[in-house]
Amino acid sequence: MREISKRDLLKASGAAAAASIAGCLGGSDDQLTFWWVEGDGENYRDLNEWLAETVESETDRELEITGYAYSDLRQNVLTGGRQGTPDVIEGVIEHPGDYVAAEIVEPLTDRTDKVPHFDGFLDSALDAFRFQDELWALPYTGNGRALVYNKDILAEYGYEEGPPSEIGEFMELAGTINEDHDDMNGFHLTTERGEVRVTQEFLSHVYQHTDGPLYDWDGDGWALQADAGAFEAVLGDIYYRLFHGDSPAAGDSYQSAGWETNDVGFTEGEHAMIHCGPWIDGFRDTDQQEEMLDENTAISLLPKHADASDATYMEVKPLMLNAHSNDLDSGMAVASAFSSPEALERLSEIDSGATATPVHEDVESSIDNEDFTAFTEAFENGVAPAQIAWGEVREAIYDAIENVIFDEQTPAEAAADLEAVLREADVNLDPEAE
Amino acid sequence: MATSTDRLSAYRKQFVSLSTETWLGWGLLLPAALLMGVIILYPILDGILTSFQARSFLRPEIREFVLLANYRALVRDGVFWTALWNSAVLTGVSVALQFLLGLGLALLLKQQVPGIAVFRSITMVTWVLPVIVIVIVFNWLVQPGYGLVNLILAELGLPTDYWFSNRTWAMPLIVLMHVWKNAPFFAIALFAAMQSIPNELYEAAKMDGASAVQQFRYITLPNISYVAMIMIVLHVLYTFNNFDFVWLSTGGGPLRTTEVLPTYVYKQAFQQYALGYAASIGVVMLIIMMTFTVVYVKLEDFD
Repeated sequence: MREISKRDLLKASGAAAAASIAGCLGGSDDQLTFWWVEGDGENYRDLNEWLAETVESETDRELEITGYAYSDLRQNVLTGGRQGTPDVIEGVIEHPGDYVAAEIVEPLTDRTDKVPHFDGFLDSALDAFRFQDELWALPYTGNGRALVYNKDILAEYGYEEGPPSEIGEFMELAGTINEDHDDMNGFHLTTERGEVRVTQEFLSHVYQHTDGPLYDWDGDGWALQADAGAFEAVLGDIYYRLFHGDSPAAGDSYQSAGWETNDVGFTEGEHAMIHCGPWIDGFRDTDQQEEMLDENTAISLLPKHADASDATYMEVKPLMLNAHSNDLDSGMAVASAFSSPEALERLSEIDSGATATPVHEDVESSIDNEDFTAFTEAFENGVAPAQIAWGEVREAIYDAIENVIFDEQTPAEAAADLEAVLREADVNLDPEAE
Repeated sequence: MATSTDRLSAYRKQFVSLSTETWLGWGLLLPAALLMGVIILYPILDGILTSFQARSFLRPEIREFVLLANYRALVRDGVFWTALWNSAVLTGVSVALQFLLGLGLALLLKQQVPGIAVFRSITMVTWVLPVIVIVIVFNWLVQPGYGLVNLILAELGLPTDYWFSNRTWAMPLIVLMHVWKNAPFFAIALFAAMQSIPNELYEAAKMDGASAVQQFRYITLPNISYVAMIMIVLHVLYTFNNFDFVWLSTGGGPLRTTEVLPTYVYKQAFQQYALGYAASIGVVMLIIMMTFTVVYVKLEDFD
């Protein structure tokens, strides 16, 4: 057998490098590109194949689907989107604002007649992407944050119909459960710095006091809708009492815990009540988890202060067109197909949580468990976050929560600091605007 | 007169020859120099230029000169100073431990005992593990409730915690992950350097009555110092600039106790879109690292 020499290896490496570069530079003009978070997901292969076939039959163009984690997806779109790839972009609710400011996405207002199912979208879901007098994205899935609770534990304390809705009584119950059970927290939510859920859960409670977004456009600029009083109420009655006070709702070791601890922890019996969305139904890796979700879990609206509303954080996933694409019509066909009732039914077969609270009236809710129906009500009460620059706001929220849960500041001090930072924050996404 | 003309002609020939050789040399160097300029010099210069500008990640084509405003803001920014201090602590402690542990491990690997070859191979495993895998492993180990570390502590009746969220233990855990990953590489490099020391030196030292400690102090250490220096410089640069361990495990929390300069640059550039401000932090990092490298190389008489 002929031995491979160093020269052969070098030649092969050179050829491979050249081929790679050619691959990067090349790319067929006939190929449409679609980036979405589950583009590479094995479970989603059938859906992706169906989408590619549907688009090809409608446009005669091949569809290449790529998966990215949301943070990578956003960065790649912002840095390279102007080159025209991808043609179609999926994302999270805060992304359209960034992309509009970067002049990367195309307004869809005049293209909606190309979407046969457009009239069926819920107005609230479309409203999440309507700003600057244009519609910037099509929604395809959504949810509202609610309270997920352990029925057995609450029944022990006489709350067969669900936990108390008033936050004082709620935290008292959570504290009692925590005190009585060595291995269970009464209430838990995520508090890990950098975790996107932390801000979503915090905002859910702030929205109860603003009954609308945190920032609203007042004609001249974005105006903060909450004051230190609202922040203090949330930081004091929830976040401080979570780990401090006479009767903390959770153990110290859960300070700064992330979503895994929250979601997986609940299904494994670690928490009596948590903040969550319909995806909780997907954590079924063990018999214990299945039993918990099928027999012992129910949903209610989030607890609130007596003078507050039932508002909560609304999450809607967008599909956007790259304004620099060389074929916007075909891109629209992708967005239309992926947000169609047929695609959503297919999505539902893979992830039932995706259509628990469908954003389209021709799609049935996947919720068949009566105990889970409160998710629908939560979605109806949902408030979509404003399309602002969230970076500075998020950091300030993390600071406030951390200072309170680690008892570095009183809730009043943290709330005052938070209000000051949010009032001064440069939340405008347009770098040229004042 | 004739002598002076001959001398002039010789000088001219020499000059022509020299200039021809020089230009030929420049001609050969030019493609590489151009390539270096495009892929190394230009990004660095653009980064330095950006540090004097207000520039958003969303619209990078819009640049506004603000002179030293970013640097003035940096001086007043408490988080920057926290991140700088944390970066220095993380780098100093991690590299010192990696070196000491690596040195100990190298001495161990040097022993001629049965099975040492297998042990040498196993030693390298942590170095080849991707950072994300290491972070996931550590993250699950310290999960409250079901993490192995906490289960053992609970079994022993000791307090449990989510250690990445503990203000006292978060940074030591990150240091531990760095050491766990990199100490074996130190060990292998130092072990290779030790292997190149002639055995005669040790034999002569033994004949002179030198103890094991004296042999280590006067033979081993001086002979591995060059490799050790390279390793230390490389790992100081790597650790000071390292982003992924901190970002994936704590995101800079809790209460910014693990915020380091790379995570702060990332937040400023990609979350707050402040490219100019992020670039000014980057320039500070560049100056610190350049200073460190120059001073260290001078001290060690690199030549």
